[in-house]
Amino acid sequence: MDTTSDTADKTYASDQELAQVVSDDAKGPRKSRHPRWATLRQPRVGVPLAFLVILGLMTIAAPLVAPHSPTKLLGAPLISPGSDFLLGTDDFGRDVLSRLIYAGRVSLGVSAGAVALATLAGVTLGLCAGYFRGAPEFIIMRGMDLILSFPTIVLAIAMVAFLGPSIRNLIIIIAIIYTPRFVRIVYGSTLVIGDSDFVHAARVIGSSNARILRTAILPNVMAPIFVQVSLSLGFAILVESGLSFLGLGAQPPTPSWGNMISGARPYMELYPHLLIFPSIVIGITILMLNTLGDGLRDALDPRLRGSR
Amino acid sequence: MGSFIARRLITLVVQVLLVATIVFLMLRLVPGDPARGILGETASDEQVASMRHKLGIDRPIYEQYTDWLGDTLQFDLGNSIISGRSVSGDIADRITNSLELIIISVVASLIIAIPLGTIAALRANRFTDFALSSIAMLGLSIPGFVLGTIFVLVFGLVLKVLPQAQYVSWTDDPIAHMKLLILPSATLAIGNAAVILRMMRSSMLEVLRQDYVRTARAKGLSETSVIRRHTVRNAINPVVSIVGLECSTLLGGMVIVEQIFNWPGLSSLLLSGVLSRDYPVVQGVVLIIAVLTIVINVIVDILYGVLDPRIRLS
Repeated sequence: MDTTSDTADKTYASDQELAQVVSDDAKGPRKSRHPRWATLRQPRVGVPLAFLVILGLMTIAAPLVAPHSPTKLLGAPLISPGSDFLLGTDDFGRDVLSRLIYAGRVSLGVSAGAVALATLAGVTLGLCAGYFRGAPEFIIMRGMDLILSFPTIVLAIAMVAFLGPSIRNLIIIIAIIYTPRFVRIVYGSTLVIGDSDFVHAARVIGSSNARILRTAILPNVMAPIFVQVSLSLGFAILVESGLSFLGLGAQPPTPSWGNMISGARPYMELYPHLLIFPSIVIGITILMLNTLGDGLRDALDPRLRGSR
Repeated sequence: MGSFIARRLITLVVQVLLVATIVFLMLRLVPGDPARGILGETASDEQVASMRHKLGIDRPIYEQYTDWLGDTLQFDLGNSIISGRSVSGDIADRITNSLELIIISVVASLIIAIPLGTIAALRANRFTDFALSSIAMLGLSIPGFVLGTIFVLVFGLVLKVLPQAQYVSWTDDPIAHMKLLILPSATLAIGNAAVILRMMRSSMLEVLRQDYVRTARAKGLSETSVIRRHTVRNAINPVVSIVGLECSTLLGGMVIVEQIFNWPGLSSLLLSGVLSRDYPVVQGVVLIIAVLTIVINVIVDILYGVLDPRIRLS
């Protein structure tokens, strides 16, 4: 049964009714078979995504989930993991589990904020550079090269030195560092897609530049952006916790995964639990983000399978 | 080949000039008055004026800029505000230690990663590949400062197999010096090796699909010869370019690793500069590390051109 001839032959009471039927036709079968949902069912995408969603919800609901306050001095210092304090207490007698959960707020919050900013800036700049070419292209791309010529951590340390350590500055600094990656990816795809027939067609029928960028180009550069968001979140956590480890990130008593590890160093021989739990949390979170990035890339673009 | 190298050297000079400009601008972009930032709110106006003079920010900006560029090109990076010592002198004292660490880590990671990446590709989608790829993913995901701290705990404090003690220079006791280098360079090498292994694996898989590999097999070459002379040779090129990019990550990781292992390289200078707001020191070290990154990348680019003639002709 050919549905298109069916709809074409029948007379509809109004254009609205016709539009309804056509859009139902378009939506109906795609809903269940949409490739994006198939992607989620792959274990390499679904498992890390589920982990990250749970982790994210836990940190958002930290006051409800955490058994104690992260900054209050609750009991004797350096209690080993046990019944009263599941993961023990630190050198000030604060609950390690509660601190880990609250630290997630800083580490994940800073990373997510920074990557969101970097994505926004990177996509905008990348689209402009790749679509308009000429002077914007030159200025944007050479500017990004300049940022990339500094090692990530060193640039971050330098910027903290001059701007001062605060949560807001951390977000801005990490966003600046990770913008070039997004610019490069979006720029590359925009160059290719900007020259395709449907973009020329859109221009011929008189679409504005903004409309072409939004409706024709942006949807086609989204896949690599998803991959990059996932990988960049991992790197951002790395930078945030690295800076906090050096004492240049979140300032005590605010817990962050990085400063919990540096705080554990003097006691680690006798009280290794202080070092081990935050290490596991950082390691697994980044591992999940990297696995998600790899899995998404393989699912969305099989040609890149296995490459970095 | 000559013109290829010349072109790369010209971009090198331009990049170094631009990076120097950014580092110059850093101090000028400090919100508020950097001199007051260093001295604190209680400082008198005279103290602030003298600090502004010391920092060289009491003159018109174009004059500051030309002076800064001129001095920098003569390796004069000014003097520390705190100790009064020459920044370039302090850097010269420590840079060899940092370079030693970087070079050993790069060499170690290449020696580990290239054979393992090749094996993973040859055993693609079998158990060996799965095991190697998983280990690489783990190496990629554990931050250097976590790995380093765990190494100190396990090898230094619990097993007591490696010296946790003071720094020993190469000239005093070469063996003790090398022992001290093992943990920091292993920490740096593991993350780097993970990246190179993944790159080598995917590059090998790409090359193994090529027609000329099939031809080599079809004309009866032994498998060893196909792998060694036709596949690995070609697969290694993109890996070389990744090594250049990774050096930037390594130089960043170095800062943290040196801190963990008390290695007297550039890191301690940078971090003490940051904590005491010794801006000339911070600028000097950041500039040197950025220039190192650029120079390493140019060397890798040229090497890439030597290995792969297609690059230098494009």
